[in-house]
Amino acid sequence: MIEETWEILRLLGVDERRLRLKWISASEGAAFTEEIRSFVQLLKELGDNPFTDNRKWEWELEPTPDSLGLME
Amino acid sequence: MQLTRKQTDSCIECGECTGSCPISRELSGFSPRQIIKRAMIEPDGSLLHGREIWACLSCAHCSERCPADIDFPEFIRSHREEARKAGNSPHESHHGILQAIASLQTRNIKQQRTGWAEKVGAFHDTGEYFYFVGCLPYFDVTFRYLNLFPLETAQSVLILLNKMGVEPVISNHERCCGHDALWSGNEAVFRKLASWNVEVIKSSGAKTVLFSCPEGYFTFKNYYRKYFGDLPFEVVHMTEFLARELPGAELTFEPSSDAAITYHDPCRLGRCSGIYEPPRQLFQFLPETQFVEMERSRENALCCGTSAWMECSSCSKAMQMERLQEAAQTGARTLITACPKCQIHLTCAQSGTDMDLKVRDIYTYLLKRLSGDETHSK
Repeated sequence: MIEETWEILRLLGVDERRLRLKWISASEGAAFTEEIRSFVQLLKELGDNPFTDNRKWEWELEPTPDSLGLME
Repeated sequence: MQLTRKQTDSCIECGECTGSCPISRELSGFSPRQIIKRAMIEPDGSLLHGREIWACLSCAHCSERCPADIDFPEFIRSHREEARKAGNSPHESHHGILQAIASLQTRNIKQQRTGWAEKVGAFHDTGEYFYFVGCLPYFDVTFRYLNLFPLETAQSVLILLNKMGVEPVISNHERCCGHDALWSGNEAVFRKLASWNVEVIKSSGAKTVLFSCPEGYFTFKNYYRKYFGDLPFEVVHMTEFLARELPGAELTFEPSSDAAITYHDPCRLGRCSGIYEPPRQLFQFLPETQFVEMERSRENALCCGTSAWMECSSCSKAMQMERLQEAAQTGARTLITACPKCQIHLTCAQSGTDMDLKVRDIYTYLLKRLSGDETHSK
């Protein structure tokens, strides 16, 4: 299941490292802390969530290729 | 786009709709005739709050036969947005993953969805033809557990087009067509997806958009026009395109040891778009092939049992098994369909049985039968 979810994230253009799966036993406190620390560090490096809805939909205005981010 | 009072008033209560409805046969009490009648008496009444509004498959059996021309599927669709607002939502299949994938595509993301095409053929960013791939890259991941590879459809289409001298546009910016959002009461999601698609196609310069998916074709042809007016490109289904262009292309097909084949008309291609002949014409290009019709075909074809990835139930399974048995009764060992969803639904129903029937997509089947094709594993 997680493999498929990574694949779908890749298709959607999202860095699949944003989804992480680990098994850590309740006795491995240090490993848990380290995992979360490194994950938070990575997410900070990767920056904003690409799914953030940053587009304004103004139905009255004709969208342009530029506003759609198609012009590189 | 709701039915007007005048339209619903024209119902003569003949009951043809309920008599034709495949859901009515499986779900006792479901009656399009009574739903219309009740809606006339109390427009904001039980329809918006009950499960019936989600049970309709919009397969258009009823509207195909209605003597008063009442478009029952459209009537149901137009009330689904309100039903959601009233807190009445459908049961989403597959844990809602397909609805999530569609709504995420409304965002300003940069998809990486053309990897499959790089492996098999030539395509471009701009050009005269745009191949609208639809949800196949996502289906390919989601339905792998059924041992199905929906991207084979897209790969087959691209190989066939290349062999006919067409190198289409295939775009990473393409979105879901919005069909399922539209039919499950999410008009805002539909509008956003559709806006992206219209702009993406415009910016490719394409004059013709080819669809292998009946839902994409039907949605562009009917609903994109309703929302965006005349489109600056032509909308063509791949079966139409192949039926028209294959005779002039120097492609030949080979005989095969397959027993007879039969064809399942998808509702969005058949009853909703009137495309019955083109897929059948394609079978005529296949030498020594016995094509047999199922008892119910063309406008009478039974629906594949589920719509818009919602409300999959014992009703759906009963219809799917009925359809598979009908196909097997023709003596055919290959059931061909032109819709990825029909293929997925029928394959799913078949997976728990020992039925000896191959459920195949039309383009993959054509490519398999193409002479001298070495690009595709047989």
